Amino acid sequence: MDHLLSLLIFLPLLVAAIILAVPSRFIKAIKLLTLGAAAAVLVLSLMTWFSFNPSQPAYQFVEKADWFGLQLSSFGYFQVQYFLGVDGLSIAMVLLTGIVGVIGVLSSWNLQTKNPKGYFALYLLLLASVMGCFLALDMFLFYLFFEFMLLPMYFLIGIWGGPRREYAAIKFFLYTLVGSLFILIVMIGLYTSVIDPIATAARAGLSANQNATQFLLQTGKLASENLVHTFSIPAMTEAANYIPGSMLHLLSDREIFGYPARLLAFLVLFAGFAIKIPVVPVHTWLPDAHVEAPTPISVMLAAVLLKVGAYGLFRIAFPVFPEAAVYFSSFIAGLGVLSILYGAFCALAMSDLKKLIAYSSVSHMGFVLLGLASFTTEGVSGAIYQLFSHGLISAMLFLVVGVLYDRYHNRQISGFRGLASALPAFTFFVVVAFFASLGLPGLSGFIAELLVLLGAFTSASANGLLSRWFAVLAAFGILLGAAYYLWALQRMFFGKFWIKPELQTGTTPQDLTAREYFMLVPLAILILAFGIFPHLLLDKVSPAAAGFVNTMLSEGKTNLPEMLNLLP
Amino acid sequence: MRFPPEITRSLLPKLEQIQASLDVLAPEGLLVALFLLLLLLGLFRSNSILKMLPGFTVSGLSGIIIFQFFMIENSPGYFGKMLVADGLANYGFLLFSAAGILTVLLSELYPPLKVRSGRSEYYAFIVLLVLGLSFMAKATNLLFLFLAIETVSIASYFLTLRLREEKPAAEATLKYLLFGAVAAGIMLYGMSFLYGFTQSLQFTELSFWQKLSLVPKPILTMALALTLGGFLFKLAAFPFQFWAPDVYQGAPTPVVAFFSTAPKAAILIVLIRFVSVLDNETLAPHFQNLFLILAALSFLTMLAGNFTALWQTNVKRLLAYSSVAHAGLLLAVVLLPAETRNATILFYVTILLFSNCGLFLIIQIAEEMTGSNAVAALSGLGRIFPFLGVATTILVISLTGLPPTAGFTAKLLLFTGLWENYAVTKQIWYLVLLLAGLVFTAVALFYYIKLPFFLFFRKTEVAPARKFGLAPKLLVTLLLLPVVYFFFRADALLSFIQGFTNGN
Repeated sequence: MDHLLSLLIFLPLLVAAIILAVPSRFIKAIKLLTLGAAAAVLVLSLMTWFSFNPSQPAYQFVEKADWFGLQLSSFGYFQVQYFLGVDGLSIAMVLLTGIVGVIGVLSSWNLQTKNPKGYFALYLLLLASVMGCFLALDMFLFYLFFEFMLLPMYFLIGIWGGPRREYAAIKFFLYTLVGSLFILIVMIGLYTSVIDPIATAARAGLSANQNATQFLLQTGKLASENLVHTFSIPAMTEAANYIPGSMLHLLSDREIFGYPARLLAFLVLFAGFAIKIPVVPVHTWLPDAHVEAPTPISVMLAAVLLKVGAYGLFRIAFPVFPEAAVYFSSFIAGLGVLSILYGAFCALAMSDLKKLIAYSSVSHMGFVLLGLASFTTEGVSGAIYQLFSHGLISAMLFLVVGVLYDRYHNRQISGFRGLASALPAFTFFVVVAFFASLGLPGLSGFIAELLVLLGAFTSASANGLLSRWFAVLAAFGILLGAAYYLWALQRMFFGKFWIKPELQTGTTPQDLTAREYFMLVPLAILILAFGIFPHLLLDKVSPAAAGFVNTMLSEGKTNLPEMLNLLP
Repeated sequence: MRFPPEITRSLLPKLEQIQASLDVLAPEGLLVALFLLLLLLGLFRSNSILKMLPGFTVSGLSGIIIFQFFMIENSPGYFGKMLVADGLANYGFLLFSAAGILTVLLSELYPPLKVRSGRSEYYAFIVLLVLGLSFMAKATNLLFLFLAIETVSIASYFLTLRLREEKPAAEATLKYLLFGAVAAGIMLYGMSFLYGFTQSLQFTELSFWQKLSLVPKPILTMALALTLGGFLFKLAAFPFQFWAPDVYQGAPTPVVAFFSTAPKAAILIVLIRFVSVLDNETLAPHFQNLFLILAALSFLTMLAGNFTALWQTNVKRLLAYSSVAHAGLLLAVVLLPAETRNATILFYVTILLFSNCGLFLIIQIAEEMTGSNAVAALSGLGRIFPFLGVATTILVISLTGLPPTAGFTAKLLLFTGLWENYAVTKQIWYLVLLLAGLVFTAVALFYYIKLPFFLFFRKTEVAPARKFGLAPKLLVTLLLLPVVYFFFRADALLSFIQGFTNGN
């Protein structure tokens, strides 16, 4: 399997193309094709997962080929590569995408789609581009997939969404586009500053190895027209690949509007990804998008799309600008805590169950930021664990809302009471999902948030970056989480069975169908499994997280004073 | 008959030079021949000849493109240095002819143009327009430039008035004519100053600019600004962008597709020649005002174009303002040093040609189906004709500048050029223009996305009267291919362009 990762991306694309060729009256065939593609992606991602070797620090299953290059006059040559690979940071995301991809198709099965052909083709397009984001190691490729996610999402919300779908779709598109423009400008700054040492050596006619070329570069002995600029993310993380005197070189004293260029570039990049995560105060697109999107798309959005933003921080923003990440660690942790608390307070105030869950997403994604900013192995592992576990839990949460909505076409908390007696099986899964999300021990959310809090708490003694108050405030967020979930449970599910008169259908509501069991049971089992056996995930992730923390701290802490010294 | 020897002696070199120049001028000569032939064919009252005209024009133009591509080398200057055939001009020629061919093809698919009378003139004037643009791109003499610009203007007025029975067409033409005449007057006034200062019309020569550098700054700035006025009018840049929406609305859609790209490319080439003085390190400091004026105009053009486009409810007016916005971005590129500037502009304009022609083709198809140019009239068409909807989406994505379309690559090159020059020169305007370009990309998305929005999200009230035929489908596909292909293989187009521009 040389092209395992390419298959993960191109298989859904291929099936999407086939679906477009199938006449729309064969709805069943289209659905089966989509399910087959998603299942194949799951199998492939499982294969990647099991053959991934965590003890090896380098990227694995690497596929690298020249895509195209442009000669830009005396400024040099720029090289775009088709460059895929996975490491401990991305492997969990690949598996998550595989799992959620299948669940999403199952939950689309009975969706009253006006045009099933378009829906399922777009769904597969979305799946492929999300997968592409997690696999790409070339920033151009990453950006391509990152932007490409927007289009299917825009149409999936805008055509198949709820009553205010048009507003939500445009708001989603504009917010994320602004975010990706932030990423674009930093990408331009990066590739104009970074070279690929090996390709440069080949172009300049040197037989030199990487280190020798980097030395020649840093001493200014390479002619600028021989430089091969690259979008390769691994190349961007090495300070020796930056052209001396370029805007983003570590020892450059360049300022933009009075701020050091590298610090500013980090902030801009952070802002771009923060919109996608989303971080308070740029989160306002999320509740609208979630409420209007059809259930399967909400599931995809919460479970994998949001993760792309956080993954961008792991993969690009932090490793490329370690000193800036260290410099801003308190600021980032602060935003994380703000998201945790603000999201939780908003969730408390919501009367629509889906909106409540959307805000709880904002709150839980705050833990990722906090864990990341703690720069401890526990915190970073916890952040990745949280990405994975929140992916499973939020998928389940949105599914249970979907189940309710399918039966009553309403999601208002005040519309229901005592559902437990009418829909006992459904209530069971709601309880599992709610408790997993509020961090009950034994379920996966607990492990993730515990690790993050541990990391945030030890940061003060381990590396002196974060104050302990962040951990204390974040713990308060967990308390709030318990409050809004338990309160919602109490209002909707306990007591005597009652639903609002105008919602009554006359027939006794049906409990879960076989298809719904098929979606919820695996998720529940996974949540339980990852809650009881955290090493299933941590074995794969922790070595990478430890490596990440070590390089970040060593490079960040040595580079930061050097960089700040240069400033007047 | 024999001439006295002194006349022969003075005349012969000139004649020889003219003869040599004629070789270089062969493509233009062929265009003139095609123009005359089309007029001549129009004299016949035969229906079969009338039907042949578009095919004839297309094959004529294609033949000239092939001839130009294989036979014409770069030539430093000919006809007493009135004209130059460098890489810019030669690539421009390909672009203009391609635009001409596409316009003829679009016209073939546009029923309102299929009236019997005046068809041969219509095609002849398209050829004349191509000729004028080609001369614009080649002119190195102010007077010749003026003549070329006026040729283009006259052909443009005629083409705008093609549907003269319709009131908007007449109104648009009148506005266009009045604005155009004023702009031409202003430009001529500015040129007369320049001539007065330098006693020369050769605006690409160094001595011309050396003499200008001695002129007091305020007067020089005024003269340059007046001259620029005429160029800005043709480019539909701020503050001369007001004619664009009316003309776009009133003119036949295929003609608008032409207007939105080829004349802009030509005037950008003229501007490049005009500002290449800024590449000269000793002279550049004297012309900082020129730089500042263009930088400010670039920003204002982007601002005016993008924000006015936001409120448009007519597709053609919307695209008129969006093309003003593109002109603003392109003005920013004009300020870059030669090596990045030329290739970037040509790349951008080439992609703009395909995207705009494709989009206008779709607009005319929709116009035919619904009888309206309102954005709201597109409602639901994408659901009925998914191909049309998907094609529109790809084209507007390209115009916005998002992957996976070549519009993104064009913007990437443009932004890279601005960023790189900001890094090298620390000139803050480059950064400002870069940031403006980024911000306005988001604004642009907001109005461009209206088209897919109506196509897919809204339902149609009336079923479209017509079908989406095979011929337009094929042409749309043909125009989509480069837009997508040059994203995945941007190097193919860029090295093709650099094959032209690096010859300078």
